[in-house]
Amino acid sequence: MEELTDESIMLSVKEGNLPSMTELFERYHVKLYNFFLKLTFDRIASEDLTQNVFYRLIKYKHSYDIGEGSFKSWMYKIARNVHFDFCKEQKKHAEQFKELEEVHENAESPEHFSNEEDFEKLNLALLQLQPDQRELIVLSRFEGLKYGEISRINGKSVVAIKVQVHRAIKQLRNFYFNQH
Amino acid sequence: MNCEDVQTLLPDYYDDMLSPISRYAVQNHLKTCEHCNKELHEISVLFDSIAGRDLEVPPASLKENFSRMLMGEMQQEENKKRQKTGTTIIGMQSFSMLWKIAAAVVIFLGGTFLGTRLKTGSDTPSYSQINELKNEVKGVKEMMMFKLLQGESASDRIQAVDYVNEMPSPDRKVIAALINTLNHDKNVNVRLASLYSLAKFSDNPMVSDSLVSSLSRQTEPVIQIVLINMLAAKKETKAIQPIREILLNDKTIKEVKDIAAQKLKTL
Repeated sequence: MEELTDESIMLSVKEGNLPSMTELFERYHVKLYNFFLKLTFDRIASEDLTQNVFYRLIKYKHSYDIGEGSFKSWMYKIARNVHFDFCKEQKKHAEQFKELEEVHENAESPEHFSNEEDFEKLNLALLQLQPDQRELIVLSRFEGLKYGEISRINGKSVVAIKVQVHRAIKQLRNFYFNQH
Repeated sequence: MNCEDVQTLLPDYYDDMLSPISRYAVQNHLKTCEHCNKELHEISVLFDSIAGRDLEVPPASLKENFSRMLMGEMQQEENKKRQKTGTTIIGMQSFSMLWKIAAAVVIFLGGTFLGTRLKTGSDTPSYSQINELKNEVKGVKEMMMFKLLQGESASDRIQAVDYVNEMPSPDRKVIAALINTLNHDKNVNVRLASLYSLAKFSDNPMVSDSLVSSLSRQTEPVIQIVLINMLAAKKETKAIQPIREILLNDKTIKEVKDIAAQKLKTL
């Protein structure tokens, strides 16, 4: 059986064939869940947020436009909005990063994510990043999106994104290699 | 190129995303600069650490909630379509040829009815006359149903299937048309609507038998799930074999298999 593209499946959903969404769910729910996990460090919230993305994909199916880039960038754009709304709602946004120590204690402890010391180090470094930098790292490095795709997601120019991603990588590197 | 220039390019250098010219310049610089080599090494360690991480598997409840949400959305979509068809009829905005025929028939019947009433000179029409009219209206509904079922528009076909709900005791011909729709209609929403309409007559052996045989035809997960649930609720033992086959079929998706396995136990 030939593999259908994400775009053609989403078009079929747009035309009213809602069950096709199951295929897109199969393709992306693990990725999205991990995307939110890296941003929130909260499993229960990540599950809700992932579900919320698929809900919005269906609700906003009519606004899907194949001319505006890949399905993936549209989906992450929605995922980003879902996360943004979540932060706003929780009012966590500001406090979460001011008192890093506290957050780190409350967050699921890194050994739950992986037993390896390396992952603990990586998670700790990620937690220390500013939220917008963390998002850029997750999109570009974890989700493997190209600069052009990220530009479609957050509406900034490709050049600006390149600079910001590099800055974020540098920052992450500092946190990663200069841990006590 | 100085160190600062090179360092901004290092991530893309590591990803092999640079133009040949930049790539060459970076390579040249790396031959002599220890500091930038250290940076590149750090980047490679960091990136490898990111690339090597395992994806965490979300809990099963995520899939369950998704399926439930999808079902709910499909139901809503269908209701919306029905409502839309409803308002167009009332608003008389887009009168299809069929509706015109239907209206003509009804007006004609009304006229006949009035005529007979005037002729007999009685104020109250007799029962036989009312029954006759009722039968004719029923005939019109059936005719409309068959006509609409052949139409191109999915919402017309859903409307047609819906007519059955207004028929107190649909005959074999109507039931057969519904079963045919369930098995062959190209639109999943129409198939689902006819399945729901058929469910009301599942005490009828002809209906329950055809629901059982439909099990092995359906490939759409939603229809499979609704069918399995329906037959399991009816304790239809004839369904055991086809449900087993669905369970064994490689093409069946996991959600359906889960429900099939769960319902098999209740049968």
